[in-house]
Amino acid sequence: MRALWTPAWIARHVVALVLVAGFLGLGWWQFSRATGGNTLSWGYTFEWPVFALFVVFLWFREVQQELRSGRARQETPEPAPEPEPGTSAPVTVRRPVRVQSSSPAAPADDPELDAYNDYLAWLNAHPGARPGDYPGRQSSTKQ
Amino acid sequence: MQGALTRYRIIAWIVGVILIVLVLVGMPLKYAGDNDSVVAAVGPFHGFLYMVYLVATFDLSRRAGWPLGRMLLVMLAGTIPFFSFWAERVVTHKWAVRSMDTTAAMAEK
Repeated sequence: MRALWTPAWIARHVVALVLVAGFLGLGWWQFSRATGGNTLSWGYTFEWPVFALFVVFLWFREVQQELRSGRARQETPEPAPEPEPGTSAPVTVRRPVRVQSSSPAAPADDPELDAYNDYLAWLNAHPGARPGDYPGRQSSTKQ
Repeated sequence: MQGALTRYRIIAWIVGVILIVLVLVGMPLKYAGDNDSVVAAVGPFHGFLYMVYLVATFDLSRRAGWPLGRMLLVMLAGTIPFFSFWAERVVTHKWAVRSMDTTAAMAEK
């Protein structure tokens, strides 16, 4: 609650009050004009109170946001030192999952991939050769 | 979010064009030509559409999570002839896009 009585917030309260009072006053002025015969003023008679309500709504929302962020600021110092002790459960759960998902892929024997790697190795060993000159896979016959 | 941005852009363009009509056609006719028919006809219409613009801007700012000052700035930008189109560009290409990126990044995490 004390966060709402800093100089900046007092200025905001004053601005909101002045705006609401001013808008309601303008609405009253338009009402007097409307009763004086100006039909267009009937629209403004309702428009200015809506503006005043909008200011009230914005003020209410900003106050709520300030209170909520103030509460969050009080709560954040507590979870901050958490990751350093052994309570970092979500991290330890995630890492084995990542290792497991990558490790089966590495040793998996993919004959197609092996053949392609053999082909690339042959192309690298014979610069200037065309793909059609590739004699086929020899390493597999040796094994 | 995307829908709110589209609504904002449409109404911003309509309000901007009508405001230019008022400034370039209505005002010279009224104050130099002594003929206020354009202002009398378009003026209240523009006022009503500007209220729609305010609502669309508020809706967009709420969804994009803008600070209060930026929302008021965008609302006021709609009152300035010609400048309103540039403001619409800034909103569309910088403020609305960036907030969509962050919400997408947050959704991924």
